[in-house]
Amino acid sequence: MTDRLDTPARDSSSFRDPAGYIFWHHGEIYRQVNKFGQADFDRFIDSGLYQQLVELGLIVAHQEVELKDLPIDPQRYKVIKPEMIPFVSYPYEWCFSQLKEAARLTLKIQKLALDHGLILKDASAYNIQFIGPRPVMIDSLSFRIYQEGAPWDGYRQFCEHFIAPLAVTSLVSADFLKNLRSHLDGLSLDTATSLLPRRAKLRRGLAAHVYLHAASRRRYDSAKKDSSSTRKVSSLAMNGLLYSLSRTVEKLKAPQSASQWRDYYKDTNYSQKAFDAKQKIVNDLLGSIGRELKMVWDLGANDGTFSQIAADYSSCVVAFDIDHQAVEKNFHSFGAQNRKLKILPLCQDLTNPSSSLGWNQNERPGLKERGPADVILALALIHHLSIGNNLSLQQIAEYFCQLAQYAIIEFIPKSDSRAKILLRRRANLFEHYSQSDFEKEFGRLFKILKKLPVPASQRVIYLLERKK
Amino acid sequence: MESWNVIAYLDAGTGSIIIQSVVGAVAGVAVFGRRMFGNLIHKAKSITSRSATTQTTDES
Repeated sequence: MTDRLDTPARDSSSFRDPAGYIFWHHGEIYRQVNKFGQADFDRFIDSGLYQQLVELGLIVAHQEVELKDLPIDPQRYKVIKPEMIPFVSYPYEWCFSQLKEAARLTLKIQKLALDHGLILKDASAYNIQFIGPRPVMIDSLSFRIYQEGAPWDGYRQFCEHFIAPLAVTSLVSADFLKNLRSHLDGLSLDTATSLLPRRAKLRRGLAAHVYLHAASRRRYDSAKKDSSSTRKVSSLAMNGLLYSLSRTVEKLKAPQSASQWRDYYKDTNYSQKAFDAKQKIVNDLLGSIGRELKMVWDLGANDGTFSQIAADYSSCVVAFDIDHQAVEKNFHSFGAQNRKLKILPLCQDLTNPSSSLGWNQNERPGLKERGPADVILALALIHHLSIGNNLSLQQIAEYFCQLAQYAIIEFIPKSDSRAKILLRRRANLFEHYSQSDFEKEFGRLFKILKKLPVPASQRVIYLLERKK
Repeated sequence: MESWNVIAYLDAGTGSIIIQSVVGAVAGVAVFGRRMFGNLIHKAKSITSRSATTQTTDES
């Protein structure tokens, strides 16, 4: 969680690296570089690596700043102001391809760093963020001066944050990444070996970086004698290691599993005319809000069809869906470039949304804590939450009220064939699920600004504004 | 003897350092060998094609 008070407040996720930390001041984000990290930071800048990474769009740019009203800190060397990430996301919210892109980026940066006489001192997946579909490195203190023969301290972390979860997702369980919520420091190699099928041993990359690596750790990590401190990793071996890691990542393919939602829009229960009308209504409602939007959350976004419309009105759209295959499809979809660059697809189960995790329960903020958004879209979603998960309309209204100032919500009546499927064996349970109940419960917390029926269907789309 | 990890904030792990030096060396030699072999093939091909071109020129 981030503390945005007027006094400088250290970001709750930034405490591991003695070279510096992130802090918030007057609602802006800054990074302090400590004297401990001075030599490495100066080399990072002076070697031209920073400039090259910025030009290639691989790292967030920063500016050196002087803040007059900071308390005196003898450890402080410099303060930099990094470019803001529109929405911070975590590996347990990514689809397979997002984690794979993050792994590729880490290896690419490592190769460039070595060319400039530096090395990544860690390889955390949390150092990578997405701006729309583009991964970027956010930690400009992750570099240290490379000494010829030194090993890569972040190798184990790379295997546990990237190789092991990618392998398990690719070969065992297509929606495994959500389980990284309980493995915040990566999937341990021992756990990965117990989850992977035997055939995984036949893959050279996994045999080396997961199985042999796990065995080596079991044998040497708790040995009394530390035999690693004088062991050299020659530049030939370092290049070989990076080549082998790249090959291992490339050979892991996105899993193909049955998906209820991936082709949802090909299998709708209403006509093309109604679908076109629905798109126009959403477009008109977003336009009628009449103010510049910075953040739209599309809840139950599926492949992002409506997120693309929202991208015309907002500088960032986060497209959440429970189905990792739909998120994969959205991540790989080709839309107009100016729209696509604003859309961040993420996996999110709204009946169990990301909660605040990690140290002091605020190292990795939950979904609600990363809001509020300006607008939420909840199209063809309410009936799943209410009928599919037994939530009352009152509970849904109370939750949505915390997420955004405006809400565009599609109400689907029980007589709709989609709702009928959910009601097949429980028709009598939901007597308080009707359009008038919806208006009554949401009307307690929101003003109903507009209410537009979707032609050639029984559905209605509302534009709501949260009451003050 | 020099110790590499005295300033690391992350525990690199003894087992991880050992395995990266071994796997890296094997992969490095393989990559280097493949590159050398590729270069040799490339050189051999260019020599063959040059001599073939010379022969054609001589014949004309």
